[in-house]
Amino acid sequence: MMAAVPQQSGEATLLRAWADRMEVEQFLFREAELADAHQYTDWQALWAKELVYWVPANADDVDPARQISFIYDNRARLEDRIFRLNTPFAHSQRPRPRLVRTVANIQLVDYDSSRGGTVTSRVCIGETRRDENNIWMARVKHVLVREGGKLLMKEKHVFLAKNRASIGNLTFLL
Amino acid sequence: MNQPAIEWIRPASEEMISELVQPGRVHSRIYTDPGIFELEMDRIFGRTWLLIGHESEIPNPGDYKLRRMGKAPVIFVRGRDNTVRVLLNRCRHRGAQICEEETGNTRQFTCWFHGWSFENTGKLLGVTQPEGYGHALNDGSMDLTPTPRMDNYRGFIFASLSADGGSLKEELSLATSRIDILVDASPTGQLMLDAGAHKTSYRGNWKMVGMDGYHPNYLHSSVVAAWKRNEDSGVGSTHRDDPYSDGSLSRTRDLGYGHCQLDLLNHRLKHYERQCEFYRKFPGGDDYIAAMHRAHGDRATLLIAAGGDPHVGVFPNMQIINNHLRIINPISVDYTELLMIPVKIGGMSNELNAERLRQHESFYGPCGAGSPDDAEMFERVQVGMHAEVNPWIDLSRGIEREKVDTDGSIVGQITDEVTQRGQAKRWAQLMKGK
Ligand code: FES
Ligand SMILES: [Fe+2]
Repeated sequence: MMAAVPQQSGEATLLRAWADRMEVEQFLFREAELADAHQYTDWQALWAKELVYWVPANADDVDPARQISFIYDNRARLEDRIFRLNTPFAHSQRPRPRLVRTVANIQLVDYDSSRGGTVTSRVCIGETRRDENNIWMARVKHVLVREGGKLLMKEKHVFLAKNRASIGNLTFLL
Repeated sequence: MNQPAIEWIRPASEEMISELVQPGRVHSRIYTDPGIFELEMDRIFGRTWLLIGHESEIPNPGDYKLRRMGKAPVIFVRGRDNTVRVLLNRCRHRGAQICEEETGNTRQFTCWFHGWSFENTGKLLGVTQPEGYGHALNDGSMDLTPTPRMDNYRGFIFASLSADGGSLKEELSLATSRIDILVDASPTGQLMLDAGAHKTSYRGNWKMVGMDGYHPNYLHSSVVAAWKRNEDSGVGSTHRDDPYSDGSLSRTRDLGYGHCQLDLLNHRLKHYERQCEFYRKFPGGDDYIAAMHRAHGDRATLLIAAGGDPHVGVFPNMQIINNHLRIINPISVDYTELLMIPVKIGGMSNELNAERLRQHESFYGPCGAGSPDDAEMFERVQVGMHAEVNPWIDLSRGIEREKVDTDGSIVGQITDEVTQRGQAKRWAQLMKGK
């Protein structure tokens, strides 16, 4: 839980740990809001230049070099994805679903505010489209980097609870 | 041109089927009526050859995958004797499904209801408290039931729930040479379907998954636009220069037996050099091209240009599209599951095969740029068809310009509904019990 707090936790260290946590939380909450609101371009701006956006299929531990995923985007593929979603012709997102996601269980693992690091969390996304409701639950791993003073996503891995099940339309931003 | 509602009589008579499938149009009830669906399970999925999978999906003794044949759950398994079988997933005692895990490796299947167990060959291994039966049950009479027929075409395993009917070769007919386009994309003839699968679903009838050369430029305009930005993005490398325009060399084909094809081969052949260039961007690209020429001589050019994609539908439950093998599982009249299994090609480097996976993900699966939009349309059609004042689905496009080609297939322009008519014809024939 307090993985970011060093052993010799004086008051200053504790404060720094809280400040780090606040910054990371705010970042993840902002990301969640942009994704929920289908603000594709703004969401894309949260990514570092080199990136991996990964949603494995069939199991959590597949090897993307040898097995398929739902999403295994580098920058070029992510830009294609966002380009398409921004056209009026992404029909599986027309009408757009209403999304409400909760990000919780945030843990700063191996994190340093000057460079960034790994953050894990849990997400629960409620999706309502037309008269259909879906719940998407996942474990999430972010690798954040600090570039030019700003936190950015370098990697995001989304381990869907139902990545083995039959899935229909999952074209919004996870 | 309102039509009177059709008198609804069960069981469906030959006359009724003829009324539902007419030249150039079909009645929407064939997609919406639960009674028709039940009849399909019997007369189509209960009789024809169905694709089960590819033998490379279960490479080792004990490997298995769960599959479906219409409503029947089956186990696609390689036994300890290294023989591939298709066994009905049903305990011989009181019928419990005997294997639950979708994929795995096992020496035996145990039914936990009363504890009977079976070898991975299907042979009955043990019955709890066997003295309760007056005679021994392990004489072969209580083994797991194999499908009445099973056959293999170049590694693709097919089975039939009916003991009679034409041979696989006969019923695949012209589709065999299309399956060859994929198998021969490997200089060694080796395919590896070991990269997992996308299992997707939509709320629509199974027959909507067809071969339609009319829709890509319209429905998939978001993807076409992405190819314009970068023509190698996604599956763009095999779709250069608009293969879906009627001015292209692409054709639609009705191959008989309900099999149909978007024949993009001649269009792709024009881009052979650029396909080679694309392969050369990856380590092993040159080796692959050279190996193809050594293995296939004059045919290599076409095979390389095709990229292993015959774009063929094998009626009723199989398709080979772009980089994947697709299995169509009808669940109910308005719900369908699709299994999309990417194919890796023996003789291609790991990098080339990884690129095939990335191409597949770009368009297919629940997060792809293409198939979710297809599914969206199938769902809209399923809803729209309930407006039955005029119940006809029009499939007449190109009916006046289609021709019979030298190989016996019916051929039309790429946007023509030759493929849909071919499927409807076979559907009607089977549904009449012929
Ligand atoms: S139903 Fe399988 S042991 Fe009884
Ligand atoms: Fe499509």
